Amino acid sequence: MTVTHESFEIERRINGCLDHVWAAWTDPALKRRWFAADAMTTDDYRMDCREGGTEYGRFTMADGPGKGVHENATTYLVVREKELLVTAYTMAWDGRIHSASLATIRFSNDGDATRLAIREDGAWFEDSDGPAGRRHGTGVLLDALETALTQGHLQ
Amino acid sequence: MTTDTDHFTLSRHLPLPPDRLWQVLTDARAREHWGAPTEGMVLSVEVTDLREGGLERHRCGPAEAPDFIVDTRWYRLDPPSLAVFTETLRFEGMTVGTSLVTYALTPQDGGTALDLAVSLSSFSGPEATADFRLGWEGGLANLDRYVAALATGAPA
Repeated sequence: MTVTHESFEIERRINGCLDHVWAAWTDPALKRRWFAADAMTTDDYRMDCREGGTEYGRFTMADGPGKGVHENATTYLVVREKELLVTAYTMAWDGRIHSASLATIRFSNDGDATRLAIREDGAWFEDSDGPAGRRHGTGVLLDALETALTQGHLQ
Repeated sequence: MTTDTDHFTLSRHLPLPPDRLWQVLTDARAREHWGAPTEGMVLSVEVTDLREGGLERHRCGPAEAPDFIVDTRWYRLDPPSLAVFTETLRFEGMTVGTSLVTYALTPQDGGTALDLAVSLSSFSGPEATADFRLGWEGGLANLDRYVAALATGAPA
């Protein structure tokens, strides 16, 4: 059994006001529209963004190196309205948990946009995407969020 | 609310084989014996649920007022070699901090090498990150004593 511990931080200015970005991240109907929306089919998705609440998603990738069923199981540890989310989550691939992470997401006004500061502390197990892959994946998610906001998909 | 983060690792060699040490580390009632951070503090179990996804709860603090709530949620349990969990500390309804913790157990010289990794997000000021580290060091000092007593058959 191998375990890799690593942390990374991403800061991004998102082209959307704080109210809209917060809603996109915490409203289940809105989040489903951008979270894992492109490369995968969403088989199941539910969330309860309250302290102690959970989020679960099951997604299928039909082809490519990530082919298979991916599951995300999240617990909301801290929820501060339009300010802070702290979550713990696991990722599983074809039923096998391959990482556990603590994620801290800070929201703040940045002019007419929103600044997101994300820190992830993770434990990655064997045959995982690893911290570099997760950092890349987080960036892709933020791209999807911004695209959805700017193209009006979250109205 | 500020957020301060820290990551640290701690290692110990303990004179119990991995399967026995695993029980000491993960059993909620066994943790009452060593998990309090400092002398004079107690740790008392309220809820046990040792399984992946399970949430356990202890109270911690001085015996007359154990007002800190410690929630442990298990994310990976591979006995007797790997455990991953989050530990969230609350006081008077506010979250003080939360940590992602890994226990890695490896057989070594008839006992076990325990490698502990802690990634911490603290919401109670930058000085609190040092307190969390001290708390873990205190807990491991208790664990040293508790396990030594178990290994020799002395009352723990």
